[in-house]
Amino acid sequence: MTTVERPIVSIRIAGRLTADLVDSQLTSNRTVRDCWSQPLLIDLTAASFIDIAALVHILALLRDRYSSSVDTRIAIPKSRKVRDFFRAWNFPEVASQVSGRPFEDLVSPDSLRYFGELPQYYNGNEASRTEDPAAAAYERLLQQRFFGFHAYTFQSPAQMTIAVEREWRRWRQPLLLSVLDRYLTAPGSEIARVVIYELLANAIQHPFADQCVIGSRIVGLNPTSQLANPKRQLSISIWDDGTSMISTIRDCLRDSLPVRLYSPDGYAEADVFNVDGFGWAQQKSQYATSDTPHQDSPDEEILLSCLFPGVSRKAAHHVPDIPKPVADLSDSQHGLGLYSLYRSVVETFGGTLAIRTGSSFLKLRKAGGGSGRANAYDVELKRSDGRPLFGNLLTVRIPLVTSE
Amino acid sequence: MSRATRVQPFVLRLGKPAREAVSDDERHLHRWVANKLTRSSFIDISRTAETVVLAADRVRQSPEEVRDLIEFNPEADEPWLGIIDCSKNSYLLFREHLLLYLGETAAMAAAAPSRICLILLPQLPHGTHSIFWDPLESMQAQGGSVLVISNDGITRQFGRTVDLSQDFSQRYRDKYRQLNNTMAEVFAEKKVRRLGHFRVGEPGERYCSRYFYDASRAVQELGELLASQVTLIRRSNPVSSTKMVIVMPTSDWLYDAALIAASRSQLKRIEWHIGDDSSSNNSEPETGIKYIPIFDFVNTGATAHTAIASLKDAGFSLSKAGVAAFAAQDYHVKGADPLAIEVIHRVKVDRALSQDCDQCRLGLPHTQTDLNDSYKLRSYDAWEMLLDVKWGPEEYGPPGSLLEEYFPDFPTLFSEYGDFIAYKLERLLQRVVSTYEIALVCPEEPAIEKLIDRVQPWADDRLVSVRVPREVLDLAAEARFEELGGLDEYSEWSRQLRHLSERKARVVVLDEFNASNRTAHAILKVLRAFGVQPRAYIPIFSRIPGQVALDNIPVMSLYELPSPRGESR
Repeated sequence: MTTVERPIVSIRIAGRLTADLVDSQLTSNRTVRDCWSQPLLIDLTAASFIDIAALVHILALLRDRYSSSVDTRIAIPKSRKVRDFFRAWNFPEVASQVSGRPFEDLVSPDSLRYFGELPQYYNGNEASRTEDPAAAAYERLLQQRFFGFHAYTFQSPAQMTIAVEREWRRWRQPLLLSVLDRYLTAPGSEIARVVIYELLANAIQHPFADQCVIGSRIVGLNPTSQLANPKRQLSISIWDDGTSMISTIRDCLRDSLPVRLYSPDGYAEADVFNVDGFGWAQQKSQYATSDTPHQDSPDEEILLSCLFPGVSRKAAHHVPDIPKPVADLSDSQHGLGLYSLYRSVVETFGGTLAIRTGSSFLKLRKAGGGSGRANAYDVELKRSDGRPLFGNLLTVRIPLVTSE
Repeated sequence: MSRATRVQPFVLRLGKPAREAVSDDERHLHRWVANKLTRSSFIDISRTAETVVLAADRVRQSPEEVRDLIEFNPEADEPWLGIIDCSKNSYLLFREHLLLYLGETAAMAAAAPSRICLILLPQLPHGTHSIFWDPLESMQAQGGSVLVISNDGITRQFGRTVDLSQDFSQRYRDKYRQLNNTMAEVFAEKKVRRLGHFRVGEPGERYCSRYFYDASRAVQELGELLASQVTLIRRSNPVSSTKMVIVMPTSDWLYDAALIAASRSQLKRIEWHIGDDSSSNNSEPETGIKYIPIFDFVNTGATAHTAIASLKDAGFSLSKAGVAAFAAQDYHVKGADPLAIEVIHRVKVDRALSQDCDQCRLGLPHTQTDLNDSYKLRSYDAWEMLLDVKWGPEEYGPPGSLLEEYFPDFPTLFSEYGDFIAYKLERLLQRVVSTYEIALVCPEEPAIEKLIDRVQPWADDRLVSVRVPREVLDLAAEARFEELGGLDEYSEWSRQLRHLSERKARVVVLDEFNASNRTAHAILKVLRAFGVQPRAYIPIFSRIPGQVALDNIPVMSLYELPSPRGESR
């Protein structure tokens, strides 16, 4: 009996691999969706730059495909520099952990020749070359491989606490804080206290989540260059393999269970969101934190409402149709986690927050005309028609100051 | 005559597994600030026995529990001052939700005009964007007042205005510092004097040092202290531009602390290599710049002098002084010295030329300073510590007839060497549990408590000690379970054990010395009676070598001595 070999689907992504590019060409790609059961080759040979959030998309895809037992391989970039970033960021180990396969089984046969290559990054002398102490501190952090990927598994409340504590503790190191204090518009300790903490606390409480990956890098900071790069930023991406946050709210709505724990009207004025939708039936252009989704709300409105204070699946006393996960059922975030996160990222640091889950994508930034206490935001809300993204992926981008 | 103001303080600790007694210093601060803020002729301050705690997983899962912990009960129209003292927590432990609930609790408690509520925080959250401020900014001017005060004395007030003296912030800051450790004291506590066989000095003048001073746990504090010193030096030479020069090779912790100090002081910095191949990379001096040399450790001063001389020979113009993190107690700047060196912390040294070194004669290898070493103590170090203290009749422990006649003075040992033993203990604790939110159960004896105090600064002050009285341990052997569980139920140790059991907290049993397992059995029995399952039993020194478990609890000690107590007596 002959075995019919399925043809390999090859997706080539070249040049500067941003998260948007990888999302549109890979995770949201219709061919990938339609040929799901065929082996897939992700051809990164012509990549000249790769955003860490882009790699997180690839990790989510690996997890999805390997849980369907479908072969997926990566053709490693030809660029030595990009390959060195892969190594420095611990991508091979994390890809292996997420997919459950050794990294050799995740790469194309041609890529095996790069194994055993000695990395050329961070020879340790970079810190010496600059007189600027913050820049030197940054080089030290690169040398210590502070940035890049860290993966956590959690199948019990104790493991969840440890995951949060370990990652949070990393972001409290004095050397890192001195770099963040220098390059951010607010104290660096707020990154650990609010941003890192809420990203992790959110990830670990999604039903059926038992692993998460957090990746970080600083882009555009070249201590030996005299030019200040206006695009320099701190990027932090987190992905968990739990149920989509849209689904958890949708399930409560479907069963007519409440999703609003409390109304925030008592204190601050509501935040206002100017929504620019694409690919879904947008009913109105402006939303507020006082809105509550309902059964007929499209996925994108539900996703936006996840940011509103007081909206949470925990408003329902039990979550229907979802067997109790082994993990943290007693978590009752009261729907303030993502609210605190975007207030910090966007208001305190002037950055952006993006969420990718299911078929939806949300990107939030400060609106140009925000005034007083009623904060206003511009939101892109898009729907893709590729295969829904496995899990939940959040990316925070915070600009670094450019003046010396 | 005006009525007394009733003062209700609560001390909230985050990330701790159990409650503890409120300290005298905390009470003093509460009384002081209450006196400053009230117009009453006198205050009636509740004597709160214990702190209230919210464990780390509760901060994450159910921060609203903090509302139930702060049990304010002001009565209608009475002059009342509530205090929520969160000042001793690390600022990084405050989740936004938790801050919101604290703000709400304070605002609600201070609803009536006769009431004031204080929230004491390590630092103030972001002035505009933290949700902490939302309930406070909604307060009416006709009601009561809430004041939020940081450890630096920065104060914001809401609701009805309270008249504060102009120097209130300064005085609060001074009072807080007076009652808590200064940065220099924190640095001294957090640094470790490691015992070992360390090679120091330059080629041509090599010798062996008994101690190695490690500030890797105190980088933040050292950075701030270096910044302060550098600022003082710059002030003494105000017209020059200044740069920092880090003398290499140096410890990683000094390098990082110097970068932090330079960043904070907005100073550029260079490196200056002596004695190795890297010296070919040394920079050229710039005219018009004064350079401040930074050293990690000045011992005899020979290396420092070499460095300073080579800088001067290369044409660098040096400031009036350099700075060293550590210097030997016997190092003094002499008249002929090229540069004064300001020292952050003076320390004891014990050095010998290699040919005179006992450890070299014994063939002991040198200790690597940059490797993570084992939690176990070397025999040489353990016995030096044991023999360095007086031996005499055991003063506390099992019932009289079982006390040893000849026993080391552990309180003095843990006082003198506590930092090194704590360093080893911390390494062991990290193997047993993955967080600092641990309760350490120990006999109520002075020595072991000193040790726990040593680990606390590294643990963000999150450890809790549960001290079980000796009388209880003595009873344990004969007592029934039910008796033990109901013993002394209002005592601190008993309340703490019940709390730990309810929360299924991480618990480790700690003891200074295990000779016969008698105390160990007793503590484990007491814990079982309360339904507490410890992760490990850790006697620092043990006379039962090879014992890996006791009553199914893993046993790990830092040093084992093979000499059983018993039948021969």
